Amino acid sequence: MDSQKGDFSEILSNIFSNSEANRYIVASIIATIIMFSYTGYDLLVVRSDAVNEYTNLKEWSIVFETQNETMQAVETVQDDETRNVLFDLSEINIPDGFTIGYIDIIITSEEESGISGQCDSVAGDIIENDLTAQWNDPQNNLSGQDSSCLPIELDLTIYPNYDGETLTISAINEFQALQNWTDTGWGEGELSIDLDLDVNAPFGIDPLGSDTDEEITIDVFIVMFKPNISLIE
Amino acid sequence: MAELESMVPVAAIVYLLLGIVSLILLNRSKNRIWIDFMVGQILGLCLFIQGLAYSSHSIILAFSDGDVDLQFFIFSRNSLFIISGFLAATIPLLFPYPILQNSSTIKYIISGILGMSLLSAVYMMMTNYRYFGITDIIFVIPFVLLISVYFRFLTEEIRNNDLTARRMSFAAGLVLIGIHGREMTWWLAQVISINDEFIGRGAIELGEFAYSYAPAWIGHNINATIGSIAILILTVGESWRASHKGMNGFLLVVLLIFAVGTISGIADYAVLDIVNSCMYSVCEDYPETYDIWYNFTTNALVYLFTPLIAMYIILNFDIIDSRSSENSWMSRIIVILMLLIVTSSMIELLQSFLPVSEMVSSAILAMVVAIFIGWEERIMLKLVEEGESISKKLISLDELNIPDMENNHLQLFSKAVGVMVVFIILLSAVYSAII
Repeated sequence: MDSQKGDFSEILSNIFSNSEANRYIVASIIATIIMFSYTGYDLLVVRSDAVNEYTNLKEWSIVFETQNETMQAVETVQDDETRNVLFDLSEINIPDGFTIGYIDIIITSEEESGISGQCDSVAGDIIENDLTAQWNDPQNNLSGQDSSCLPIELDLTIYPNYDGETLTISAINEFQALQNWTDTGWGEGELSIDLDLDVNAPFGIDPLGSDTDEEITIDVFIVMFKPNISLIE
Repeated sequence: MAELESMVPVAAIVYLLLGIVSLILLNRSKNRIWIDFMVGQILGLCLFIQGLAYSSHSIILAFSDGDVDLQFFIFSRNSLFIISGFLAATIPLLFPYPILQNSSTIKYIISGILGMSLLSAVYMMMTNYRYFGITDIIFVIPFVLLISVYFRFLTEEIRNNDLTARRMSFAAGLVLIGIHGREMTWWLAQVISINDEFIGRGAIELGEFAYSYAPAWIGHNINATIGSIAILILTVGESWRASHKGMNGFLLVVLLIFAVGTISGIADYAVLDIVNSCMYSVCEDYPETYDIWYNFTTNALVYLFTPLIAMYIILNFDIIDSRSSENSWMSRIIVILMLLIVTSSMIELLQSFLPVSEMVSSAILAMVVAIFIGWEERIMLKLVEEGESISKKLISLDELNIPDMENNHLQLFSKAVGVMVVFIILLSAVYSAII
């Protein structure tokens, strides 16, 4: 039964024992070589310039064009009250190609009531909520407090790593260079700010009881950016 | 419209399940001829390792948006794909027509292939997978062998009316689809030479890392060319056979893949502006219909139907002894399980973009379960009873040597591959931790 000895040349001669089949095999191999040649030529020769262009790192400069939008709220807050103020960021007009980069908030209060006119203690906090932002960014300043009638400044970074500075980036093309600056979805939601007021009177005495509240103004400056890219020759 | 679900986790389950069960059934099968035993081992291990690779890939997909360090999974996935690729390329050396028949060539050449796969996996890891695609050149010799066997036995069947020759050409055709199925669905794009534009887009999307080097591109192009020629050969060959012998199921499968490749080629041509937008401006997304089409055709073929083809080969070509009472129940379970997993995945996929309520899809699934259970015996009979090992045909031709090798010697192969897989996973863990 077993006259086949496993000799390699004998096996190959068995496989190629049919002359008609051999013609088809040769034709198929020639077709394979032809197809490989012209597709390979397209891929490795014709496209070689494109390949080189898109596989070599180039230096790109990214400059951020900015635009600002402002929102304002004026609140009269009672002594020892905590007031929450919401700013719906969907209400602002974001021009085409722009994205919110960061938000600056200035809280001001003017002491007008009371005998002494002594400044009240005002505190402002940005409350972390569903607003899509960089809540843990070290550049953030989410809380502030003042009792000398000076404005309180708060900051919240919205877009990852955005600080407005011009960048130089190595990338194979414009698309990749801009990849970190084309994310969407940042700055969606409501900015929530808590205000606290603690009325101050000289030696803690306000005999007429006239200083019981304070008008506090919140100015929200929304800084939007659009990246402009250019190749550094 | 819901987002299309990824089929990779399902593929991981299907490949792992089939790989493990095949190896168990093979070890329970007594008195297997060496070729069946060896092919069964390679096929089972190849499925199992691909299952592990898809598991890693599933984890990568699941956590890619977070801060999780996925380097270990990337290394192990890529290395396991390289090893399973080498194993897949070994199958045509033994099945359906073994060119290795001498005990020493079986030992040395298969050991050499294992050694090469290990070296390639380690080298690719060290070079950060820059030349990943070049390993595809290993499929050239298997391709030549498979088409040679296909043409020889197809011609003998038609010209000499040798009815038993069909088993050989059929097996060669199935292995070609199993190995090159994905590339077969790109045949028209390759023939009109637009695949290079997709590779260009991929280079930009993935960065210079993935496709920066000519060797990798040569490998990809070889594989795409082989797949395209393979489906053209099968289409012409099976049509020729059908003109003499009548229609059959395999012709329908081949024509289906051919049609998918034709439509995909036209779709690819239609989206060329989108493909090239990536090179000159900003990458535009493909239309949703295009993604759905590829998910249902190329991805479904690779992730879900390739394991079914492997299962068909294992059962229909009698690689395992599915008739023995010991194996019968497990074979039946795995067949029904595989069919159900694939069907339910396809239903789930349909549901992801068609407005079909869950109630309706559950009802459809229940019907499918009932049909499979009701026809379980018929399906098994079709798979097993008509099956016959190709070794019988080769022995009848006096073209199969039975070398003096114990099954224990052949089992060393499984152990060697097992050690290699453990080694590569450990290496991935260590290397990913230190770089």
